[in-house]
Amino acid sequence: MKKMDFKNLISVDQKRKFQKMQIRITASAGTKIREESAVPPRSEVELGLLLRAIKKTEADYQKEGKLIKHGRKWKLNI
Amino acid sequence: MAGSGSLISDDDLEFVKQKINAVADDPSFSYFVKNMKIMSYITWLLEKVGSKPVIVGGHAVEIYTMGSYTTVDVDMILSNRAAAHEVLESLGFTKQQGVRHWYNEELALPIEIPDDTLAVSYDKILEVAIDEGFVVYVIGIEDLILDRARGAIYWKDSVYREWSLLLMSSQINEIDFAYLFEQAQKEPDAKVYEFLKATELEARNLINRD
Repeated sequence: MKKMDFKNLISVDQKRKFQKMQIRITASAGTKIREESAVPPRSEVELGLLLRAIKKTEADYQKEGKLIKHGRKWKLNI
Repeated sequence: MAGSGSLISDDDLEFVKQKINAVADDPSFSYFVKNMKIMSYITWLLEKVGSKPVIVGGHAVEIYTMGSYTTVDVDMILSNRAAAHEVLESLGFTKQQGVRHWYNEELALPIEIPDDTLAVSYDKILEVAIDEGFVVYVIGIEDLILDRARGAIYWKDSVYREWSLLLMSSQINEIDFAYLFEQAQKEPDAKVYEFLKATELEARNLINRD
């Protein structure tokens, strides 16, 4: 499986937000840019890794007693 | 406090200010933890004036994914807006660009209050207890996914599309799918419903591959 740093996976959102702002500014200036090509979506591999990371964080929090879930009532010991 | 915030005593205000300052000055807390604690103290005060703030938007995504999604500002919906504004002002928040955007420079915490009516189900709201006696209220997972789906369809936003999938995949056992699809069918564009149906399949495939 492709190796990726979790922090990089997350920071992509911040970078893409900035890119989108630039795209909107450029578009308003009349230049045509295809948004989807300028801001590529995450690959299936990246999404899988991100999901795994989210689930691991939640599992770790629960194991360490930092997160207790009771339906729609959670306790966060942070 | 004068006016609509008179249900809050000066002692209450001082107590919350001290709690907020203690968290703000502690370098061991991450930005996510700091915001959660501060929001729980603000919620405690707002409830005293009959205002129930509900966290929506990116910060709600951050909560459901335990800080995996990062956002700077906190979007919240609340009732009794006039009283709430007084509370925020008394905590050092100042209005930016109209009445929606509030900012506390010392805490570097922007708060956006998009609307004072919650167009979502109160039955689905998540209550998160932070410290003893302090909670935050978060938009229900179904309404949050629906919000991301709207962004994906109406704004053609790839980030919204991805987080619809990630929220659904990571919280799949908690989601009331009947409610989610019922709400989606009320959308003016049927593409939102179709998108969510496809996302459910994609989420189950993603989980099975993992």
